[in-house]
Amino acid sequence: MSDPTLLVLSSLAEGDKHGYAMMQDIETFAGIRLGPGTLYGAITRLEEHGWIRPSGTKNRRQPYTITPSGRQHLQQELATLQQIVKTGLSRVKHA
Amino acid sequence: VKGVAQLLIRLYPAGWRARYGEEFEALLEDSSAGWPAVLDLLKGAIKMQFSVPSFPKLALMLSITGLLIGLVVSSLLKPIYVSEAVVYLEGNVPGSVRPVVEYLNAVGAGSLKSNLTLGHHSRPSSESLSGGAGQRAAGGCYRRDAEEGPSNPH
Repeated sequence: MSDPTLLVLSSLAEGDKHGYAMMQDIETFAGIRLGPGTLYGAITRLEEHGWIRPSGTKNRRQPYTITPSGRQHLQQELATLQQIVKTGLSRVKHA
Repeated sequence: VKGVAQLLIRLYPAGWRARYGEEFEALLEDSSAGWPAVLDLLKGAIKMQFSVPSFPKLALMLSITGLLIGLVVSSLLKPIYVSEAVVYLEGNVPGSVRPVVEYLNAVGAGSLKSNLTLGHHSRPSSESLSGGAGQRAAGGCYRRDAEEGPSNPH
């Protein structure tokens, strides 16, 4: 799971965060250090889709929150990934 | 490196910078911006530029694509036409002419083959261009697959 949009959604599913906090959280739970361009590319796409939105007052360190449609999208994507992981693991075992 | 990273923010589209520029700068201040981050910024800027629709960008992109396709097609096609030319120099051939002939033969070695030969006339010709030392050119252009030699001189 290295799609930056899924990593950002997974990070925000825990609670609101600004860019740097997301970067650190993603590095902690996924072991992937997103570059600033990749992170903000993902944030831009997610906001365009309406899956995240800025929270609180406008700030230099702007926090973001996941929207209900974003949470639903994340659940669908994770379910697909879970199915892939399950199938992949069982095939590796029997190979 | 941080200075370079902050300069690279200017490569992002103006509309995007108006929306995200301030918080993006704050992120660069907080994070350790090394060379991988600079490369990531550059990649992000290019992607962002192409994700924003704009007629000049579209025109540029299509021009570059057309140019690349043209280059690939022309390099794949076999040469169709062969041109040949013979230049006769009358009188003493100046030594300075020989390098020119060699150069012309060298540049003609690409898709349009040219053979330029240096010849001599022992006697003055009626086709001479001038009295003392004249020159005459003969040659032609023909399809490589159709004929063995020039038959339709231009």
